[in-house]
Amino acid sequence: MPTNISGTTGIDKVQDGTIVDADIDTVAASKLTGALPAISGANLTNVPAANITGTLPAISGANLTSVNAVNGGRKNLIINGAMKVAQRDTSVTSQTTGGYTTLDRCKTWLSVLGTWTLSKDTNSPEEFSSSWKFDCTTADTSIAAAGYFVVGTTIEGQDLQHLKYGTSAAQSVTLSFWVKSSKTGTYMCELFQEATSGKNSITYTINSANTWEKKSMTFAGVTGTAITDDNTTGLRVYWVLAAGSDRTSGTHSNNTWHTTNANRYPGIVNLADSTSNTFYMTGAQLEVGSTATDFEHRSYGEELALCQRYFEKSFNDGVAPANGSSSTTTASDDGMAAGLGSNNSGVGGSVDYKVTKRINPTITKYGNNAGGWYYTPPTSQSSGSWSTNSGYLHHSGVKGFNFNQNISGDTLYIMYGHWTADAEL
Amino acid sequence: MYKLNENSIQRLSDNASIPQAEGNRDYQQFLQDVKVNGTSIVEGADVIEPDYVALRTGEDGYAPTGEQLDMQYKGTWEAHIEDVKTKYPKTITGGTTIADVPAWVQEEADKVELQEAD
Repeated sequence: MPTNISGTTGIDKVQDGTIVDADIDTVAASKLTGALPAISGANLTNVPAANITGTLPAISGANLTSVNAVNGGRKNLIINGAMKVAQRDTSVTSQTTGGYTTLDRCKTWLSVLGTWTLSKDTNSPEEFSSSWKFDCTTADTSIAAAGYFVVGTTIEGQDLQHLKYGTSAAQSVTLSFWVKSSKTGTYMCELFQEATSGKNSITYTINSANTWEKKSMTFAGVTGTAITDDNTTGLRVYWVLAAGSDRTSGTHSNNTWHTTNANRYPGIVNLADSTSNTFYMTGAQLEVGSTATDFEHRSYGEELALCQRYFEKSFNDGVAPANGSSSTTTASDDGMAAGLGSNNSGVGGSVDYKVTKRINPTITKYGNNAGGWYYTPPTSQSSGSWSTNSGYLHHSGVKGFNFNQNISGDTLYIMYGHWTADAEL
Repeated sequence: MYKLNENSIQRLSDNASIPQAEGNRDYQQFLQDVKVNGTSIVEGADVIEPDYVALRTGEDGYAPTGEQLDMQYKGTWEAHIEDVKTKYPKTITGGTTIADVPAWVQEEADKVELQEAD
């Protein structure tokens, strides 16, 4: 029979008895000393995540079962996100219009908004070795309504089908990157779906000037329209650095797909408002899901091969494509394209690309100061001639091209020169 | 400015050879430029007119050496030579002319929509 004890004197102890659970109300933590008894895992339920703090003990891999899979395999949809490969050049100045100029797969969209120097820079977070740098050299403090400066990359539609756009199961994607700027404030990133011209921009803040900060954001999937499954652009990924009122005069809503230009970038900083302004970025990663995982580092060779689907050159790595300075010199003697011999009326050959191109590419020849290639008897290589015919490329395709040059005389010739093949999106 | 070649479009600013490939962005830019500026920014392909030497030694000129020996045996060789020389007189000096811009350039340009800037 239970005994109720009341009053202020209490009792010393309960001896040889049992207190039922219902009668244990609140036990102060200070009273829980000594070793706790082993508790069955089945009894550890409803422990709030907030109460699991400190360092977890080492756990045998065999015990890690039923853990949700982390994105495996090739998770980063962005090529050259570590800003390593720069086949075209490492620095260009006086940029007032957009295009591909330095780092591979990295494009600028620029119109009436300052003048810029773009470069591959060694300034980077410890995890990386290089970054993409933007340096304002002519300021624009009063942006024209139609002005914009956007940088980013494009992704082929056929590489995005696993996002399941156009279905109710459309996947979210998370963009993460490192950024550093002399100008603090509100910036934006945007996804642009090519098939619909749909836009979705999300803000981020650069909190400290000239300090590397890691940012991430998650974009909702598009259930309405699928990404076209081919080798054309599926999505563009934008980092927005400044824009005029055509793109800022509306109302911004984070992570909302729309087609209204004015609602794209309201509230964004103007990175072009001073020639002291700089902006760096690297470690760009776009992956399926709502979590920004560690950056997927790839080897230089692997990244270069991925880039060569879109741009390839005959010049050695580190040598920017260029013509020679005179009618009798080339800019670089290294990495020349191979020529083949022939005689009496023609010399020609073929070039096989290292990587099949996305599309039949634009080919630009480089040679002497007029872009001419050199053809010469192999036994007397100083007595050759420079081609002036720019129309001798034939049967150009995604795997290579043929070239030829008319010659006279019954002599064996070799021919060589440089080229670039551009199949960018 | 552009110039048409036999198999490609030459961009004169950097001598790049642009293929007529739908997904090539330089080809799309070419069509955009024509749409905005008209075909005056395009030069037709070179048309090379052969001179009399090329014509006389070409497929429709002198017969192969073996056939000419046979003609000499039959006594028709001099007439054959005379026919070819008459057909291709020395007044044919050849040269290069520039063809008109073909209609497909404007037709393809008319099909494209002006691109959104970004």
